[in-house]
Amino acid sequence: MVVWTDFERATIQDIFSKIDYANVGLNALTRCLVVYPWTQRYFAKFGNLYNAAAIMGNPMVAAHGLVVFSGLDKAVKNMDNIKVAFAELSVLHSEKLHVDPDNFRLLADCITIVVAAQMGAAFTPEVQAAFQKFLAVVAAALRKQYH
Amino acid sequence: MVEWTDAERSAIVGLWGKICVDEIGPQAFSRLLIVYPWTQRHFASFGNLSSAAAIQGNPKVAHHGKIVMGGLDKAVKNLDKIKATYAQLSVMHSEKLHVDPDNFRLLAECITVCVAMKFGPSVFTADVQEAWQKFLCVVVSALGRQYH
Repeated sequence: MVVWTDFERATIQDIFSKIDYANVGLNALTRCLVVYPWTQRYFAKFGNLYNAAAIMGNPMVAAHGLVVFSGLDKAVKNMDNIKVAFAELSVLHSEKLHVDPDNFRLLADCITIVVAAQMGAAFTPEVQAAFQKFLAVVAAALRKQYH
Repeated sequence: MVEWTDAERSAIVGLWGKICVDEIGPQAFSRLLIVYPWTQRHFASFGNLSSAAAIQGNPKVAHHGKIVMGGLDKAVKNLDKIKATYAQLSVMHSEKLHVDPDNFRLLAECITVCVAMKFGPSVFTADVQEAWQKFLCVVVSALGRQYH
């Protein structure tokens, strides 16, 4: 089971209570699709993903950013039980969506960069360590049911 | 050979021109040692790395952060031949320093986080991020090239 220090718990709760899920979701997913273009293969039905501006303006990307963050919200509310909370999501990503789990780390990196850019100096090394640990636990939970 | 678009070249050179290496280097390197603590194993001679505060105040850490950025400067000035430019550095990291090349990617990530924090999303746009991460990816690959 994952052990969280008080500092880590407080940091994660604090960050997620302050960020705008729609804004960070859209920005992070856009960056993922731009910086790692092969990830676009999962979103063929999203229409125009031709360049960064098109992706940022694409309503399906925005909607999906929110979907991702509602998943993250579930993890924040179940920090001591993320593996169990994400079991069905993991099966979905493996069996139905066929997402290469390496991509979870790429999206997590983009989320980190967007949050870091918004928080500026408040994103201290200790805060970064807590945040990246949280996202690593989420990514591990998402791949747990893969076989 | 790596192909750079004009937009990527100008994004990389433009961003590099704004970066203060004496600031970002020490910050990024401190973060590496704090966020990925196993990397401290390569720096046993650096003295006190016992806490985040100690690491951030350690002069040897700061100095080494600047050395790393000096290496990146060389890459920015030799965008079309990073592999050749880094051949000796790669041999050194493999034969003498015995650094696991996966750690290069971790340091690259810390540098990117510091750059994102410093410049914010309106300068460090998605396109600039794409060019910057491609650049760091090429550097990381060149550093690992001579490993055997």
